[in-house]
Amino acid sequence: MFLSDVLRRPVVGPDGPLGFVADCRVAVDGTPGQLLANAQLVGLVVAPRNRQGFLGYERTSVSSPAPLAQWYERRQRGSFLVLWEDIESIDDVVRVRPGYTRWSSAL
Amino acid sequence: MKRYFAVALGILTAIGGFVDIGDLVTNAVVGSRFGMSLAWAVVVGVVGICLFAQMSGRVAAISGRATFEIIRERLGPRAGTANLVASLLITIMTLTAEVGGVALALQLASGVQPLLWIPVAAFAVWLVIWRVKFSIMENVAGVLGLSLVVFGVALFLLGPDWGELKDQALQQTSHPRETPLTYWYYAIALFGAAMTPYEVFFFSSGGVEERWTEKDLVTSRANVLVGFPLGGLLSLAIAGCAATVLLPRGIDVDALSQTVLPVAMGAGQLGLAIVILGVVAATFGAALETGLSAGYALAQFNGWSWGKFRRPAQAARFHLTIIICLVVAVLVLLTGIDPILVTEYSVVFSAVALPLTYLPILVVANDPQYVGEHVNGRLLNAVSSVYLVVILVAAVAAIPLMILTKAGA
Amino acid sequence: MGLREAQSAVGSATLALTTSQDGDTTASVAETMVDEAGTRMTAASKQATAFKPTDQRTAAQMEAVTQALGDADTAVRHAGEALSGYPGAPSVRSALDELKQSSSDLERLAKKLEPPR
Repeated sequence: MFLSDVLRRPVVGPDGPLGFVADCRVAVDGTPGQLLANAQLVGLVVAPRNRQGFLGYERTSVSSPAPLAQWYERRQRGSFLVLWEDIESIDDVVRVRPGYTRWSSAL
Repeated sequence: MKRYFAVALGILTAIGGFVDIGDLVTNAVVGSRFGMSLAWAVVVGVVGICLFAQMSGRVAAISGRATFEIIRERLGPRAGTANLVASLLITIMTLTAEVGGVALALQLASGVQPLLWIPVAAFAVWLVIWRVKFSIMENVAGVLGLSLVVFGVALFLLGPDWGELKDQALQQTSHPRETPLTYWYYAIALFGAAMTPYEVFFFSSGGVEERWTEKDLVTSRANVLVGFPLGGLLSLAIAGCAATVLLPRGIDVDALSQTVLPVAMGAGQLGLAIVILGVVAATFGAALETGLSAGYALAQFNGWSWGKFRRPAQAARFHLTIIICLVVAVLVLLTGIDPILVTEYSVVFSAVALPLTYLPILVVANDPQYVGEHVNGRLLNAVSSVYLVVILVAAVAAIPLMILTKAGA
Repeated sequence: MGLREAQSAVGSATLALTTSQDGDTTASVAETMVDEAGTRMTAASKQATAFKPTDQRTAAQMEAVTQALGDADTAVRHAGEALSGYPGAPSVRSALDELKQSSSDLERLAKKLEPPR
């Protein structure tokens, strides 16, 4: 499975549609490799609308220029992170396990 | 001492490098039809290119990444590809106009048909890109391009009514032969001519070619903030010459010969020789820059090895891209299309494509992961946010205005 | 209807001829300019003939325009011949006179055809 295939797919929770896969989160904390540790998939970022990315404004450390940051923050509203453990299955739609947690998608 | 020399040389090449076929033609056309009343659009464009080049130069110096590497990283493959295609098309269009401009200038010098000069000009461009060291290439073209200063000299020698020119610029006298729509169409054309996207690809990639570091920030800032405004002044002198000589006689500029004629009238045959040298240098230099920019854009986007600091064999796909673009430019010109027409379209489409590259650079210039402590300051962000709006409005309005005015006819 | 283009082309050819006579410009630049003016004149005439009049008044106007454009075309061609200076070519002086005549004809016509305000 390629990551780019998963992006933009619809996400369905136990009680109906949740949105679309907007991004994925990885953490570089796996087994140490030659240069860096291996990347581990933490989870998928789900956004309510199927649009392009956030241009890096999902990071709380970047908030300028203010109009752009506010615009992207608004677009980001309602998006959340689902941990990889909470993903039930991935085919045409991504299914999320019942009792999953909505983590903040901000970095 | 060496440092001052570097700053001075950088400023001189920035002045000479600022003016290309787009500025030459658009300023002369506007001067001959609207006098100096669109001078404000040149000023808006110059401030814009200063902001844009300053940000992308800083990003290149600190992060070592050029424009299209950033676009790929920040926009992702889908939006990035759309961006690449649009930017590449416009860069090739501009390259076509520049090669045509070289041929037209050589025609003025020799009387030989431009169609015969086109292959020669394109071959010379390729040869220089293939063989000549980056710094020599840039400095020679830039310094020779400085001979366009003769437009300013000629304007003084023509002895125009300065008060009249000032009134045209500040009081917006009416233009009985023109409609408001053509006025705004040419405002966007002037804006696009001053803020051509390739200048920024070239500026940032050039920063990587010349291995800029944090230490070079001051030099690069001086080049931009002094060189480009002086280049803008040169643009205004071109418009002023046309406004003085051609506007009262009802001559609309539609050829390069009409652009340089006021210089001959003001400064005689010597002035004419200098201005033709300047036009050849400026268009040839810009052809080098656009050719390289096309290669930079595609290679950076695809992660190919690129740059003139590598030998051609080590950046084969980069050089192949440039060759293909040059061949396309020659084929287009050999159809007999008027290079001036290509130029007029290229500056307007430049304005259309501008937001595609401006936005990512603005975002990254605020990102500490790229530029560390050198993020945009508050004032710079305020001004560049206003410019984001200006650029968006110009981009959206350009094509409707082009259709409504039949491209300014 | 091509009048404006014609005025610009005639003006351009006039300027090329006068500057070349004053020794301000080189022969190659002057010839290029007159050449280009000739090309614009052809385009202007084509534009005028493509215009189909619908009533008698416009038909009469069109005839006047076509006539003036034809004269301008000849004047610009004579300017080119005068510059090349081969035997039997009109003198620069007479070519300039012809251009001046054509320019004032075009201007009068343009004033007449200006839409009433």
